[in-house]
Amino acid sequence: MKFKAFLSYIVVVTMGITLFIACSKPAQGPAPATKPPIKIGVIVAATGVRAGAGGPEKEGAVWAAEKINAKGGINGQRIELVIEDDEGNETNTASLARKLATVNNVSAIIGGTSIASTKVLGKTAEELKVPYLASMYGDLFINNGDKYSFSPWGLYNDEYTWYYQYLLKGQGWKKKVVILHDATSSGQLAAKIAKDVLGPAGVEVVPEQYQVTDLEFASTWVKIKNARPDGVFLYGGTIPAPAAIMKARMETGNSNITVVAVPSIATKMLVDLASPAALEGLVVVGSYFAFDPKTQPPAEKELFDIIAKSQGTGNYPAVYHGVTWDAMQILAKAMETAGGDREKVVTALHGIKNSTLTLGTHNFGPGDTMADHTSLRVKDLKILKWEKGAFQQVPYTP
Amino acid sequence: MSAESLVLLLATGVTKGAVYGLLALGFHILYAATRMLHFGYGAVAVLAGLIALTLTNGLHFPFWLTLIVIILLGWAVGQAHNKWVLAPVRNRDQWIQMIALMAIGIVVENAYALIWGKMPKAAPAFTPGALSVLGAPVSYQSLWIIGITVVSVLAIKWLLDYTLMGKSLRGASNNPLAARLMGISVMSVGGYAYGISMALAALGGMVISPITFAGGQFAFPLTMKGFASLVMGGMFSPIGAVIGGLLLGLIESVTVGTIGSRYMDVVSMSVLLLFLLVRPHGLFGGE
Repeated sequence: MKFKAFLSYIVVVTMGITLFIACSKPAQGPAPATKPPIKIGVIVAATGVRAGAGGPEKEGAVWAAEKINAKGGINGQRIELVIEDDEGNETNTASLARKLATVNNVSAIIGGTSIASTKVLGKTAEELKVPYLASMYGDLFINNGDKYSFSPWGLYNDEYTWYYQYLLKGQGWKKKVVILHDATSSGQLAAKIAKDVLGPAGVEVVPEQYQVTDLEFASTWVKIKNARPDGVFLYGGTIPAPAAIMKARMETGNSNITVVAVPSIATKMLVDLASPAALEGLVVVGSYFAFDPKTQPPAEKELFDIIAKSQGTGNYPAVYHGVTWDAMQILAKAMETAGGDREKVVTALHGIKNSTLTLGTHNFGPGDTMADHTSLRVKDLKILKWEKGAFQQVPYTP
Repeated sequence: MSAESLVLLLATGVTKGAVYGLLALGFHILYAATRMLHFGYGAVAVLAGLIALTLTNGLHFPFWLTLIVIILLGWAVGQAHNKWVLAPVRNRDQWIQMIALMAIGIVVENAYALIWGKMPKAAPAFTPGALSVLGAPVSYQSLWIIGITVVSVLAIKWLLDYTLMGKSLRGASNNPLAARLMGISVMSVGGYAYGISMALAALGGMVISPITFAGGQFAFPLTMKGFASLVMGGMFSPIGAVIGGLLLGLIESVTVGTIGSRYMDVVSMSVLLLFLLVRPHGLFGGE
């Protein structure tokens, strides 16, 4: 009985203290915020074979939200991210999108790490009337007439045409080009565009598809070498395969074969896995980032500084960081006038003009065509070359 | 095709094949003794690659010590499989036991992703550089892999032929019922089989990680390659398991080097299917 009485005493005292703390105001500090947060959904492939892209997408969104919240949020309302991992499986994407829209009641969704998942997200966004900013080129998933799907990126066809024009004019590849691409639909599309652009110029295009789960690439380099191409165009942002490809190029004695790669492979992870020596001479076409601190625009420098702070000096962002970083800031700008109202956000997005962020200057059009809903155009793309342990910008006039 | 290209394809094929052979040998030991297939097998190989990297790069263990630790670790993982995963379900249907093994493979994959992260890590070669053979650079890592495989096969052969453990395993493989009647404990045989099998998986993971990187998404491909090699070589033949691995490795490298990577799985699986139809007991068959 004595013990029970003592226990009851402890419980009462504890409850009393808790009540006292809950009711008391702090002696200093601001009054707690009363406005509810604005919820933004993020769906990326944070795990699975596409985590090399999905991971940076998630990071870009989180950092942008932290930056906006550090400045007081959007008109005093904090951003609350609801992050879901679809593991690169579009079946998961569909159910997660529905959950974000109907259960979590997000004001907008960003993300999508593959063409397939982006298409699913776009379809769901149109059905459930939720603004959606994709991590994908607009012409790969937006249909004319779509009201809710937006792309803070560019046009895939335009950009790849630009890349292949560089191979002709910048590299002087006139006879034969190997297009080494992964098995994704965007990889196969990259090979198709190569044939469409280079074929009429008399260049023989040799598509060579690899699997991201291939255990070695030495045999692939035997085939490439025997094809005797002017060079190799490497498509694929899903590390580690591009790193293994570059490593195998060096180990099989094929460093003399020039590789021109898409900008999505220019990541610190590529350097760490392949080694700086294996990347010597690698050309990256169509980079959005200048990399050189002397020529970096302020918006790009801001993202580079955040990554250096978060992951250490010598690290730099992937293009996927930039896509979601820009998407979040575009959304925040739209929400300054629209708040968390989905329809008002859509209207406000159409009003985004001349917004210069990390990937370039974003402009959405007034209508509901695919072009109006895609904010970037081919402009200010850079050519980089890995030399002496760093990406250096190479002058090129298209 | 030039001599240089041929040498490179052969070297690549034999290197890959040696790793497949190691994994297939582990599969064989397990299947022959327990009639069990472990489809979570590749996860142990990947885990071993990550641990080896941590021991050498992080803790600066010398190579020989890392090798011993990895083998012992594989053995310990095998014992844990036998005692804590299989023992509770040993008297249940075989499919339940296989699911238990698959589940533990998934747990291991997620565990190493939690500890080391989801992205792969660069693992340095045991000896950097390459030898020139008819103008083709054959990496020293390839030579290590082939050498370690040969030594492992000889060691397993000695174990099976000259030790009590090996005799128990062979007895259980030849006639499980008779072996039990002769007093050979199912639990002990399971322990030996899982121990050796996981040690071989761990060794395979350690030697291949400088080529494939440590970690990442290679657990399932490694499992399937090991299994396919075993089927091609013969489920009950240790030498067949290794030869099956070499054959698979060579088929893959020649296919990629001549026709292209996109046809690699089609060709290798077609060959496997042919084996199943024409010679289902594999190249070296046997009971």
